[in-house]
Amino acid sequence: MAGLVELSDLVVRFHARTGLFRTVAIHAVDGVSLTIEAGETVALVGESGSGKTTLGRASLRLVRPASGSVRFDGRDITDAPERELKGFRRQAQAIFQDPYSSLNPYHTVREAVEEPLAVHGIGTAAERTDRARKALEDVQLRPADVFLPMYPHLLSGGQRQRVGIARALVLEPRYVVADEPVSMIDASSRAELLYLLRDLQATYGIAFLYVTHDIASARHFAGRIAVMYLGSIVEIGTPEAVVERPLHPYTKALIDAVPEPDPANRLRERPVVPGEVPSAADPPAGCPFHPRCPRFMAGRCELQRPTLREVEPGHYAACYLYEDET
Amino acid sequence: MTPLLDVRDLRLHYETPRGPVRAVDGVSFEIGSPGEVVGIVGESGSGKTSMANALMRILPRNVARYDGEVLYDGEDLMALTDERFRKEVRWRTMAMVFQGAMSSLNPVLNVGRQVTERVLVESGASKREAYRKAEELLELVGLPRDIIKRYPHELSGGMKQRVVLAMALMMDPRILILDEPTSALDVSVQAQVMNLLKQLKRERGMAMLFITHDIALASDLCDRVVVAYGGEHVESGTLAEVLTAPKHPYTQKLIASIPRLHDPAQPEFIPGRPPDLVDPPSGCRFHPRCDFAFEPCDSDVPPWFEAGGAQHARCWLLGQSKGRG
Repeated sequence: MAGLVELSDLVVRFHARTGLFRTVAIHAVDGVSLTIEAGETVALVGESGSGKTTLGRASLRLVRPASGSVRFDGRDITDAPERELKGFRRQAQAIFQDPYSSLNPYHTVREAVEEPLAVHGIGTAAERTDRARKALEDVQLRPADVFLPMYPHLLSGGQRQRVGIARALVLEPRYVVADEPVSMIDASSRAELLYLLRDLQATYGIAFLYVTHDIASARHFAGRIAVMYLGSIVEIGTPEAVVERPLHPYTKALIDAVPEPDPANRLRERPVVPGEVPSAADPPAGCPFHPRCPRFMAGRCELQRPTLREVEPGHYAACYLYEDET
Repeated sequence: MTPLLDVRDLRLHYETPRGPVRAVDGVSFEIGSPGEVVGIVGESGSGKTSMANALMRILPRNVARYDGEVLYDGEDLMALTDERFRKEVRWRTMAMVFQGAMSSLNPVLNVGRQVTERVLVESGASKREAYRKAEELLELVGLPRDIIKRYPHELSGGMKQRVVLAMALMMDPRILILDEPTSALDVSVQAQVMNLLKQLKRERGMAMLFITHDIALASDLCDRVVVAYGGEHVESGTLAEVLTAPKHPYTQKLIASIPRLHDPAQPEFIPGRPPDLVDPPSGCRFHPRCDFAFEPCDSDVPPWFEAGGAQHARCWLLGQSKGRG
C-alpha cells in the first residue's frame, strides 16, 4: 500500500562555513526511508542534532534534499519547482515549537488565521472569516468571535499554540508536521493540546509527523515511533514495542535516561551512555552510535552502517545484534 | 536541632503599572542538614525562580515588597546589610546555578578565567591557588584537564553545564540552589548531570534546593518536595509521601499530567490558566481550577493542615475530617 508521504533514502546536507574559505558538509539527514499513511501519527523521537526537525522540513519540501526522494500522494515532489507545489502546500502544513515567536505580534488572531486562505486565494473575505471562525472553534478557542479581534500578547502560551494549530488547519490539510508543539507549554497543559491534536486527526483524518525529544509523550500520542540518531532512523515500531521491547542500544539508553516519578529513583544512579551526540559534520563511520554503544562489536559496527531490518512483525532496528536472527 | 536553612514567610512582590505582582507570597520551608536536597516543584509563574532570587538577594529595581526571615544556622540573613550579605553570604554560604546559565558564559574568555574570576575578586586568593581549586572542581564535575584553556564554543551543552556547576562551587558554599539546571539538555545528558548532583550530595554532603517544573525529575534527587502554585506553597512532605500519596488536588493533577513511559494510562491535564499574581483568586488560589472546591475554598485562605508523617497541605479537604470552627 502506498503511503501518503513516502520518503526514500533521503539525504539532506547543509554547508557550514568554518573559516573564510572553508566549508564543511553536515549530513543532517543521512539516508532515511519513512512512509506515513493517511490519517496516521508517526512520532519522530530524537535528541538535538539527530536531524528530526530537518527530516520534518524535508518532508514538507522546505529544504531540498541532496538525494533520495519525497513523494506525496503518489507524486514525486523531490525536485518540483515551487510554482508546481502550490497544491501540495495547501495539503501539507506545519505547527511550530515556539508560540511566542511564530505569531506576528501586529496581526490579530483573525489576520493570522485568515492569512493562509488569502495566500492561496481561497474564498471571499466573508467566507475566509467563516472558515477562520470554524478553525478557532475546532481548536477550542470559543467563542471564536471573542478571539478573532485579539492580539497575541493577550493570549497565554497554550492559547497562542492553538492559534498556530488553527492556522495550520484552516486549509484542511491532509498532512501536518508538528515540531515540538508542546515543549514550551506548561506540563499540566501539554496533554490537553496533544488530545486536541488527536481529536482533530480523528475528525479530519490528518496524517501527523510528531517531532519530539519526549519519548514518553510519543508513547501516548503516536501510532508508530521512529527513533533517530545522527541523521538515521535506528528503530521504528509501535509505541508499545519500542518502549517495552526496545531493540537498538541507543533506544534502550534513551528510555533508561527518562526520569519516571518514582521515589526509588533517588537512591540509584541511572545507567548512562558516555559522552554526547557527535557532530554531524564528522559522523563516525559504520553505525553512527558505535563509539558510545555498550554492545559495540569490533570488526563489524565501525565498518559498515547497518540497515533497518524487521526483527519482529512491524518492529525494525538498524543494528548488527539482530542481523543473524532474521 | 537548628535547621541549616529555615525560611519563614518570605515575600517578594514586584511593582508594575497594574499593581504589585505577588510572585513570592509568604513561603516557608527548611533544609534540615547538609546533604539534604529539597525540591521546589511548580509550573511557570508559580514564583519558584523569584524565590531563589529572593534567597540570593538578587533583586530587580521594581521591588515593591521584600521581607520575611531566612535563618541560616539560626542567624537571620535578611537582617544583614547588602554589603555584609555580598561579602559573607552570596556564593560563600549559598551559591546558585541560574536557569540557562550555560548560555551566559563569556565567549571570549577561556574556562579557567571564568571559573577563577569570582574567587580572585572576592577572596583575594592568589592566582595559583585559584587555578588549583578550579582544576580540582572541574575534575570533580567530570571534565578533562585541558578544559581550563578551552573556550565556550568548543564545549557541548553538557560540558558547559558542568563548568557552570564548578563555578558555583568555587567559594565552598554550604547550600547550592539549582534553578532548572538541566532544562536545556537532552535526556541522556540530563541523566549524566543528575548522577553528578547525586554524587555531590553523597560525597560532599552538599545541601541543595532543586527548582524544577518536572516532578519526575525531582524524584531523581530530592529527599523532600515542596509544591508551589501561584506564589504560594501548597504541599510539602518527603518525596515518597508527595509522590505516592499527594494530598492537595493541584499536586494530584500535576502528577497525573506526566506521561508515563511504562504505563499505558493516559496523562491528564488541568483545565484553565494559572492565577494572575496581580489579582490572585480569593481564598485558595487553586479553587477556580479545582474539581473539589466547596464552600470555604473561594473565601477563606486554607492554613497548613497536617496530613500524617512529614506531609502537610493547604487544602480545606484536609480540614473537613477535623471539623471546622
